[in-house]
Amino acid sequence: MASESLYLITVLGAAGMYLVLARSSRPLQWTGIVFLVAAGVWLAKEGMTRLAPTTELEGEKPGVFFYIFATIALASAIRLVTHTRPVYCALYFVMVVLSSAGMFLLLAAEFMAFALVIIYAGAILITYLFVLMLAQQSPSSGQEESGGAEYDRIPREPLAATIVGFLLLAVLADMISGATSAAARPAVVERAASLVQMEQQAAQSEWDTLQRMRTNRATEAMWRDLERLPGRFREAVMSVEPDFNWPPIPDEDGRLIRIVDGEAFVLGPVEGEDSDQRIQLPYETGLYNVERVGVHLVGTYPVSLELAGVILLMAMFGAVVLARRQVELGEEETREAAGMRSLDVEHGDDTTSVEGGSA
Amino acid sequence: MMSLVASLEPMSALSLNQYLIVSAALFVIGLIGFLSRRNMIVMFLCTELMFQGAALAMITFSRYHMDVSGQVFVIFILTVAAAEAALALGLVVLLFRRRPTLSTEAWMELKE
Repeated sequence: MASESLYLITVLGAAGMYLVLARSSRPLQWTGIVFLVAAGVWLAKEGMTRLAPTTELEGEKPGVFFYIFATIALASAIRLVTHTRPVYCALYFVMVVLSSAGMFLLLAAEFMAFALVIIYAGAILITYLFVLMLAQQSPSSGQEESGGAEYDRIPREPLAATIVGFLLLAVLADMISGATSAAARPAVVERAASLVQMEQQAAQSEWDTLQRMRTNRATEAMWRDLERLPGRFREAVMSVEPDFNWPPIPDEDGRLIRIVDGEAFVLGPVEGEDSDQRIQLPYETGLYNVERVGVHLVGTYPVSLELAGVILLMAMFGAVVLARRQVELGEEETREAAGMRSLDVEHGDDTTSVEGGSA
Repeated sequence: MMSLVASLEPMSALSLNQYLIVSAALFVIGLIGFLSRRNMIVMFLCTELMFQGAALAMITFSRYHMDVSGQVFVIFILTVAAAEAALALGLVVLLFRRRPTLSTEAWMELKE
């Protein structure tokens, strides 16, 4: 698998980005946009061919919504980076956040999608916009108002930044495609042999078997998380069989839920009989994404949660300390910076002054 | 709309590849912006863009391995990003009061 095409994509993308970034004429900017679009499409195709999927499961493309969200995200990101007015940059960032949240929804991370919109678009971006409004400057004599301030219009070292950035992208894309390519897939013959009774089809590659194992592990993890919520667990069992003798019998590992072939059941003691009562847990009693995130946040990573709280507390203290600091600036300079006229009241021979009265 | 973990099909390797390339591209665009802009607030916005790229990569791997730890870690990333944004913007406001410009070139003497 040759890597030259990746570096050609780098050159194409870098040329496009440079043309869009540097203040060139209109036709050159459109050429740059065309180059960028071509580089993006080529990169996606190149990732697909280098991957060389052998079975249908491996080669399943993400749906059309992924491509829509990805295009919006990348286009908004490029516009953020190249726009001259900072307020528009913040608004394009909101666009990036929203399309990122869309991609999170496609990846079945609903809680993170909503949290992203609430925290980023709802709090952090509002703060940015407030600071941008506070940091407004008056147009001084040397500036052109057509394109914003001079330091916004002209980028600093666009060529070096573009080359470095796209080289990094090429290396990352190379690594990503290489790590998931056919040559890197492990041979798991012994694990596949143990799962033969689970697989009904004959011709499945080891990679697909690994995928199936991952799904089973996920199912197992979901039922284990249900076990950590005793109230929910009890409710789930009692809804199936109200006469169940709670609590169920633990197995030799101390677990209450048993999982075979992805199906979960519990065993309960029945008085006066030798055999145990077996209740199959219904599929719908499993945990949703929001509940799982909550269970793991508090149950598996409580220290990190507390540390995050401490970090936020420190940030709040820091912000209060910074805001209290009084910076002396002469009154004249303040007025000049805000674009107001200086308050020189003419004394002496100005007969139309404000103080009428005693002349 | 909420998805049960057990109802999720395994994610294909090609999907993983495409999501990771998008995440790398977001990161790189943020990097290019950070290196080439001179407005302090836009530089911080590009930093946040890099955070977005990293968060997308983590959520992708969380979906690929069907493990929720990736999403939990993204919550912490969000926390750190929010704290950093608050402090950075406070500093920008203070710097702006000193010299009434948002350009980093006004502070070039800090370089030496």
